[in-house]
Amino acid sequence: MTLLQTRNLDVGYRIAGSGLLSRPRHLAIVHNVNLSLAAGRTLGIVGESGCGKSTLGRALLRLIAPTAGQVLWDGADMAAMSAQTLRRRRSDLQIIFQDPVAALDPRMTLGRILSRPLVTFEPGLSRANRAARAAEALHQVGLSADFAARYPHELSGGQAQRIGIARALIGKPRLIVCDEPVSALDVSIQAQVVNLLMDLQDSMGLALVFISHNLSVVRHISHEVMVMCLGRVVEHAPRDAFYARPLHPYSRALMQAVPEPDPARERSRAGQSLPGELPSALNPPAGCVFASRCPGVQPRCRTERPELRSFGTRHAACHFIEA
Amino acid sequence: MTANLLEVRDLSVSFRLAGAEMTAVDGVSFDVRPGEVLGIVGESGSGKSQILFSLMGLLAANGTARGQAMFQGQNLLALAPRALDRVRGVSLSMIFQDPMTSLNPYKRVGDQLAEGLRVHKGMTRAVARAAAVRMLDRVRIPDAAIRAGRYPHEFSGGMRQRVMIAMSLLVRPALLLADEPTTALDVTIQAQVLDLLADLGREIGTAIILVTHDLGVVARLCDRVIVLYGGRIMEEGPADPLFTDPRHPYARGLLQATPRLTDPPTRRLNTIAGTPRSGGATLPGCPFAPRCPSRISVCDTTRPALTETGPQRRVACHLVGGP
Amino acid sequence: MVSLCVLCLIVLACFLGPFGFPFTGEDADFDAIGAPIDFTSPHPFGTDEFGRDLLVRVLEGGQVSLTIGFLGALVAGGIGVVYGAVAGYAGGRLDSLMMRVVEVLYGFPYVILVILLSLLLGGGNVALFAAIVFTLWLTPAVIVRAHAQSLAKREFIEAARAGGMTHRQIVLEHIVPNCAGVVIVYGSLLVPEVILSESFLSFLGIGIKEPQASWGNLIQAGTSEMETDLRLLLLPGGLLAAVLFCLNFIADGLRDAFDPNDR
Repeated sequence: MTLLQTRNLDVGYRIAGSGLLSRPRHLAIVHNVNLSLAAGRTLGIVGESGCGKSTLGRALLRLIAPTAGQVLWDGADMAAMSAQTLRRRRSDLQIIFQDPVAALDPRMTLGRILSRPLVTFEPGLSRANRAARAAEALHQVGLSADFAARYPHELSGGQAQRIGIARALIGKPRLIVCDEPVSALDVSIQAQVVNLLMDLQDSMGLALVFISHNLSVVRHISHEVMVMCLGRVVEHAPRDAFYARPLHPYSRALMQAVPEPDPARERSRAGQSLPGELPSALNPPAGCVFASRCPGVQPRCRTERPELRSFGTRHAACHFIEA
Repeated sequence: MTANLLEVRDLSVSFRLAGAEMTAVDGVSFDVRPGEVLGIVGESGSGKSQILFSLMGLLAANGTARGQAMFQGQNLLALAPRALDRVRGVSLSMIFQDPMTSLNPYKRVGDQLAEGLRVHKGMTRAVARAAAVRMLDRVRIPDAAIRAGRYPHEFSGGMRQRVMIAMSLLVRPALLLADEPTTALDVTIQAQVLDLLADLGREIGTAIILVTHDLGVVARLCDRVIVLYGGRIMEEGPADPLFTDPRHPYARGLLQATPRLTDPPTRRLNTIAGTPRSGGATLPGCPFAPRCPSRISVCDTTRPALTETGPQRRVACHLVGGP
Repeated sequence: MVSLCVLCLIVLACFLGPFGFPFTGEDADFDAIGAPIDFTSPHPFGTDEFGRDLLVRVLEGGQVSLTIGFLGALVAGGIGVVYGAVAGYAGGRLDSLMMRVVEVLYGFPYVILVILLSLLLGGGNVALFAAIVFTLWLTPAVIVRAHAQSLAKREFIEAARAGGMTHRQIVLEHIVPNCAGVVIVYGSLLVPEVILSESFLSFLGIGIKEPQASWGNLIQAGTSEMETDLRLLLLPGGLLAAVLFCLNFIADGLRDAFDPNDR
């Protein structure tokens, strides 16, 4: 059952023009994204900085309004919802952030941080009920009830992220967008948080959108993977097929570049790093977004942007892929 | 056998915070040979960065470093500021984690590079400038001569980090300290920068101490590894044997908790229970005891000594005997 | 801490002290005109040229000055916080507009603005109070706006939006409380500013009018008698100085207490 769907989604920002009366410029961040996600499934979105994955994540929740295209929740176009309906609907669609401590209001106790969303989502609840729900959420993420009286600055990174997850869970969501949730955490804590998310998915049938630059972590938690580069989807495939054989040169470059704790493997890769850098989003290239760094680049790549083509259950945007 | 470049004995770093003493580094001893790359890996709170700061004389005002660090016949920890200045930037260099804030935003890049040469090696402006441009070229900054006249904000993160590497290696130091140099960079850029460090280091003959939390980075670059926890060395040894056969429970746990692309995709990640220890009063026993799956009663009461268990391998664990 | 105690003492003295005397500051005691300081007499600090007891006058003046000071700071601070929080959080055109208004108001010469407003609002003490406050909320607004701008970018604000909160709720429940520290510290500096403003205006003759006492007009009277009778100046002046000192120390202490870097 499809929960979330996007059609030809474009997201951009208006940057203020210089000067009082000059026209604002348009900065397009995300181009033409099509995805659909069912309950109990995880979509992993991978890419480096500037690829637009965080912007996409926020657009999925309508924290940013798209500039073109549609985001459908439960079949209904989110743009057609009134502000009031949207606010109430937010209990279904939640988000957790990369910097877990910054995501908590430093002046509020954890109990209050957890129960505040209920004031919006379920206004009929009494204060005692809200406190009980907060305690229940703490329990779900493996924290003791006495955490409710603490303040954010008393928490470690891992604990703060659990609170972030608890807050997302409080309204009994059906989908959670996870924006680099473990990048700021130590390795041993990363593993704990990822396991927690997977447990919650199993027990609650949660759909997850897992945004990360870490291919290894994405592999564990995702059912399907989407690779983004400069705002465009360059590859979209089921997890196992993707990791067994990535089709797009950028996907291959990403996998090559991930350092693994295996000295023999690393030594064999030494000196094979991809040269150059990606152009900035302010100056998108005319042809393929990866042309400036692709080892297999041809003249055609610089002038003609490849469309996302399907290869069975997989999609990739490159002129030169053999299925 | 060549003499050691750096000999650290019983290094301890503590901070005075609100009247109490907090220990960050607790009796660490190690050697660095000329030209070798030593990795110090640990999670947050392990004290790894403080080791570098104390060697470089960059500890915060409320920190004290005790012990000995013999470098080129002098004890770095006991040097007066003037004497330390003659070592820093000449034979001892450092690069930092955040490329955004490590460069002076008000000076052109070429000037910042040349500064080191003029101050420490007494070169004239013209000669220093030429050397700076050559170095920028060497670190693969495109259009080096033009870029030398630009300001830091005109460079991307990866390029700024390369400028930092250029600055620190320009004076051809005997020892380079690198504090999480690639943590803030995208994965494909990280691979470039690591390769660059390896190449340049070999070419100039600089020894490198690389501090990181990323085991993959260590595997890629380091000849020898020290695993740090709670301010103490848990295990030390050459990279290959340590990664394939870790002896200390913490090292084992850390390696198991790191997700790899080559893992079979089991659903759950391996974890280490609990939260990484960060500072505080010194425990009587092993700092890892509270989280150790193999802990026995003596672990809580007595510090395990760092014992030799093989050629160049040392482990601090009661459960691991001698060679 | 000490400053807090001293300040409290002064405040208490000003408000409760006059009850301890059988006369008010307006009663003229014609038997003792221009009496010198004599702790044994019924007028311990002497009287002025009209025979009014100096100590009582100073204490009553303190009531007026301190009330205007604290109340003024409170109101000016309150207006400034809300204005700044909204501007900082909103950003964009609204923020620009709001800040241009502030800049225009800044451009007016202070005394002229106060006189104009005072006249517009019908003269009298309430008008004076409104006029002083009106010129004083600008700086807290600017300070809070800067703070609010950086807060608005923090993830917990995004989380609040994801939690369905309206902009109004976010400003009131998240932005304003997080600006409290900044405001309280600045607020304790506002109080002396208000008192000094009032004193200055009274000194110019535009402030509190005789026969009502305020430290400002007492100091003004004392200055004109400076060569002959120093105590007319010293008592109100000394108390004002003491209050200002105390407030400055308290502001320092509050700043240290609220400094997020110490967390």
